[in-house]
Amino acid sequence: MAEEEIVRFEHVRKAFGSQQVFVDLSLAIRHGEIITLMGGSGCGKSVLLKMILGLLSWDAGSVIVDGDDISGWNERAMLPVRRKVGMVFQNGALFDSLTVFENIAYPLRERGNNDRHKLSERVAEVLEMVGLPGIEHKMPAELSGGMRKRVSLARAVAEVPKVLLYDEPTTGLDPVNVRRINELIISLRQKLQTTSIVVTHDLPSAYMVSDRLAMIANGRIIAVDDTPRFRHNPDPIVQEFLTAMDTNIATNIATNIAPTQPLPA
Amino acid sequence: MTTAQESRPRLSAVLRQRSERALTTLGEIGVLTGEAARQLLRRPFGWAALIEQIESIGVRSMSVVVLTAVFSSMVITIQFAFQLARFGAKEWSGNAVGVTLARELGPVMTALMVGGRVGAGIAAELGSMSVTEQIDAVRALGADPVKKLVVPRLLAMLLVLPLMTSMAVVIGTVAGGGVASLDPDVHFNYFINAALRSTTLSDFFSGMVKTLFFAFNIAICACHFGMTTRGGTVGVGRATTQTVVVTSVVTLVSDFFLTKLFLAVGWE
Repeated sequence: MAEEEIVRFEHVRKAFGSQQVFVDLSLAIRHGEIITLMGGSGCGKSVLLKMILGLLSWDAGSVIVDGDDISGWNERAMLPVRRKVGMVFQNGALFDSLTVFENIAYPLRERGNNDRHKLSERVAEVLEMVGLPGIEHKMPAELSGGMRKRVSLARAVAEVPKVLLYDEPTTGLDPVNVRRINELIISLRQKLQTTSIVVTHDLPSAYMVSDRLAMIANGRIIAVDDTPRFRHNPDPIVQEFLTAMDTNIATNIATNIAPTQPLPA
Repeated sequence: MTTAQESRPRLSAVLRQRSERALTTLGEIGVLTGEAARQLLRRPFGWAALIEQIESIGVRSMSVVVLTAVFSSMVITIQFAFQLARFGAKEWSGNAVGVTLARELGPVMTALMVGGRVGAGIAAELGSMSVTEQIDAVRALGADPVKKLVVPRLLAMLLVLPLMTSMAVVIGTVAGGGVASLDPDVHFNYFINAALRSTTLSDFFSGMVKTLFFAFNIAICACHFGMTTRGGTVGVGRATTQTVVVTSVVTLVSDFFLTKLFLAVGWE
């Protein structure tokens, strides 16, 4: 593993029953970069993120995180690795029975920080960072979708991680919240010097936040390149994906601006 | 003919698949039990979570357990009194009710009611956590879901169910005495004294050992089905139903075998 790499997948193979998800997947992720993983539904983008945390196992190959090959590691052995990696789950995955404060303080308490004053300070600090100050007492059910994702992000960065994983961070959000989340991904990289791995279908967001883009298809990485160059990748699957996404965006715009009622004479 | 021949391999395949699934579930429950035992000994201990679960399992199930104990014991008292009256032994109904409640009806009815209410609740809660990735989040944040979610529920159930069963036996006996004393031939005090006299310590402990087994069965099955839930809200519904069915069936079947076992080893 080269020194500038923080995560590396080497010839990973993974199947769920008879469904082969990865055939021979290899990818290296560099220190401090924001890389976005794209691909069709069910191609295994979220599976890849969960492998980095050891939440899912793989059948063959290696996953190396910060110099450690975590293949076959048990839950106990994974604990130090999980301390280096934060994850923003698709729907936030906030604990419903706990307040925002308890949710964000959870990873800190797990690491033995029980000083109420210090916890309050840190929780307030990260909530400020994600633009949601003063909501410590709220329950997750009282939050909007965008707020839940930002609280989930605050929880993921409460203990400053080396790697931040984002699973569909902008899915289901309105344009204002999409922009807010994208700006947060960029600003958190600058503030915390973390490496960010983003999984998304949202092409404009991917172009906005990423240093590099990678595409998964047929169980492997078929293209990985710097963002400006990725658009011109000659792979037919990549071009089909990008064209389809561009067409969807154009159709959405056309539908949204087309008058639904006939204009008055 | 052709249809019958075609259906034969299909039936055997289905049977094999179901047997494999049942054995896999048994194996997974065994692994979960071992992991829970290991996590139980690991520090720090989650006292707050345990107290929360005792409140949730015990205090909130009290009304349903009391109601079941009162009415089921009143019914068996009436039935015993009616049958014993044929032999002119109506006043002996206290003896029969006391032993039946301590050995069988108290543990089984309490386990069925708590299994239905609490087991379903645990499966639904953990199932919802599973499908919304909250269990993955527990692991991702550096905690162990077995220690955080299973151990407090299992321990609380093992502590609370024997207490609730004892309560059900006492309240049931009093309720039985109440309904028996409506008959001018049976005095309330006589009924209670007969029940106390006939119910030995071994009857009570036999019921308590069964209760501990039922408590373990309810908690571990509910946690297992909840934590392995897949497939969104439909999956949560399926896990809840599975929990109620499996815990009820295991309670009733194991009660028979435990009774036979206790009698065989001379624990009468």
